[in-house]
Amino acid sequence: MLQVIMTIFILLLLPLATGHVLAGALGLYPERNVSGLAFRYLMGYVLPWAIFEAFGPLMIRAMTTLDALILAWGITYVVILILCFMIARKRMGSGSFSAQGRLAGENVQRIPGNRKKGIRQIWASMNRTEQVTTVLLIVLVLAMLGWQIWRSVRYTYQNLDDPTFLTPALDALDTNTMFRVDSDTGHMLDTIKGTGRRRDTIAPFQLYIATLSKMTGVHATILAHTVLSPFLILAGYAAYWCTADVLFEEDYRAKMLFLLFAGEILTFMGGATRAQGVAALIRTWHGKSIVASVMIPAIFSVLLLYGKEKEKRKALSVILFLMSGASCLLSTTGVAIIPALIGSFGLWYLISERNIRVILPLLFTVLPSVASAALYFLYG
Amino acid sequence: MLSEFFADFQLDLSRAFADGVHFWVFLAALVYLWFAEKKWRKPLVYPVTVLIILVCNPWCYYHVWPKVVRYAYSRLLWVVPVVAVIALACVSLVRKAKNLCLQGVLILILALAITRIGPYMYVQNFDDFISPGYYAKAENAYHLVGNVVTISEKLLELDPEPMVVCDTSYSPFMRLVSPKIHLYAGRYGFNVRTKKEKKMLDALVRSEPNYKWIRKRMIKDGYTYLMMLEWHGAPDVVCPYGFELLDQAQDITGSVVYLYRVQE
Repeated sequence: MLQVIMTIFILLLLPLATGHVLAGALGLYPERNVSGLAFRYLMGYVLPWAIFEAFGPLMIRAMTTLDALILAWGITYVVILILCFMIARKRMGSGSFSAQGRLAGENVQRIPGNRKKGIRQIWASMNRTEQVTTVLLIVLVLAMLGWQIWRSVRYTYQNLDDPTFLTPALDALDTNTMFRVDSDTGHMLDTIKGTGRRRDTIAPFQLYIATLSKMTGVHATILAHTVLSPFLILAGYAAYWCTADVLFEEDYRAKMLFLLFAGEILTFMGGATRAQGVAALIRTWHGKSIVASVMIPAIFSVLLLYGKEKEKRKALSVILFLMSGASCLLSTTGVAIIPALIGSFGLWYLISERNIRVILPLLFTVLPSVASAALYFLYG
Repeated sequence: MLSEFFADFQLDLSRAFADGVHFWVFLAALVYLWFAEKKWRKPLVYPVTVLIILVCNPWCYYHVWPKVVRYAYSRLLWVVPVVAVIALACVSLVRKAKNLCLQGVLILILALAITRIGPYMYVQNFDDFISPGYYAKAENAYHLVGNVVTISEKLLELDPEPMVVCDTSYSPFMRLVSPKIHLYAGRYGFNVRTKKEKKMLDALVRSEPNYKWIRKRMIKDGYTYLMMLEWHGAPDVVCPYGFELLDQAQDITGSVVYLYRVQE
């Protein structure tokens, strides 16, 4: 029972609270609407991942214990949350950063999320037919999500590559070391140089799984294969919702229809282990799968917003920086491909606005990838 | 040159998006959005076009990306927003219809069309040139084959830290049940680190393994348990060399696996 409570707290409530505080501090989506909720949920995962990446590779190189890494990560996470909470309160005026997430302050930065009507107002502005179709679409979206989540929990995917990705988490928990055990055999090694997958040490998502396992008390294999999947599938759809939000704004029916089509396209993208659809719905817990199905759509949505909301580019750069850092934790694939995505958009903004300053914040956002690549070439 | 590029590129597309058709549908969707949604040109269509030009051009394909992503160009294709753009085009098409009934019909037609552009996700077999896998109903919370869990637990009952020499497709999965299980070597052909490990694996995969040498090596290196597949490790072949049969189970591949202990 305690494990269930801890799992729900750590994988659902804590991310929502983290995202809420972070969004408040950055002045993004402060009103209580669905887009704000999706964004907060997403950022609630991104922030702890980015913090973990800030410590992980260096502490692995320093050959510290897993406990030391968890402690450093935990303290930093809490300190950043407190700082974000204080900034959010200051930004929104005293007392206005309430549990309902409403705001009244005049000094709030305004982006589309702020301008949105509340759900009740939107509902009231619809005619009867629109209300019926909206309810129908909500039911269809929930049914699709429920079905895909049920499949992820009830079914399994067996691939000889998979144990290689997860055993470092179990070894770390067992020995309180990081990448010091040959994960294929269980032999203790004198140095991390001896492990076969040295590149994992710059993208140590397995150790994050070990951390979650330690915090929830759930066996790392069960956590990764069974428990994480539903939460990651939700995060993927939250990212797609954010994309739809930028383009469809207050047309909720269009946004839900978009989710339905996106979900169907992913469902009919099977058959190959590396397909994006398989990453999103079956091999969900792999770091590279999370990059493909959560981080890339999320970064894409923020980049769309970056082009649209010019006055909010600093805040969006911070979000992109965190997402870039989180992608580096998840997989070396993230380290390599996220700059290509951000760089392409940066190039377009440079061409369209003919101003070098427009891409300076974007250069800042790829620093985590540059740092990870430098570590890779230094130690890889 | 160009035909060679398209052949290689199509192979990568099939890895990134199941069969590669999605990418061409995505391009059609992008062209449609360029004409149909003028307000999305600047925020969406143009930057995505720049992205495609950078990621999918033949020069970068052969000269830039291999240096950045090495063998995993197909993963770079994930950055192309195939799912989002196709879905946006579908929604845009539906919104063009003013009549509610027509919208419903369009949704159904588009939904049916999407089912034709790629393989259904929840199928039993997945092809991959490196590591084929299969999809099945989970037998336990670990999401591992039931026999892997049973035999791993059996080993842990016998010994808190069992030292195992193993020639089955079990071996990579057993350490997911417990890291206390120690294996002589990693996956054959993939994660073999030392000459000693390779020598043992080479000895195990032979049609007629030299069990005298294997036993000697196991005792010398402190290994107690041996797991062998039926085709070259049945009890009548193995036991005469000083091994005791402890248990048997079905391997992932369907054949029988025998668990032996070295007799001192």
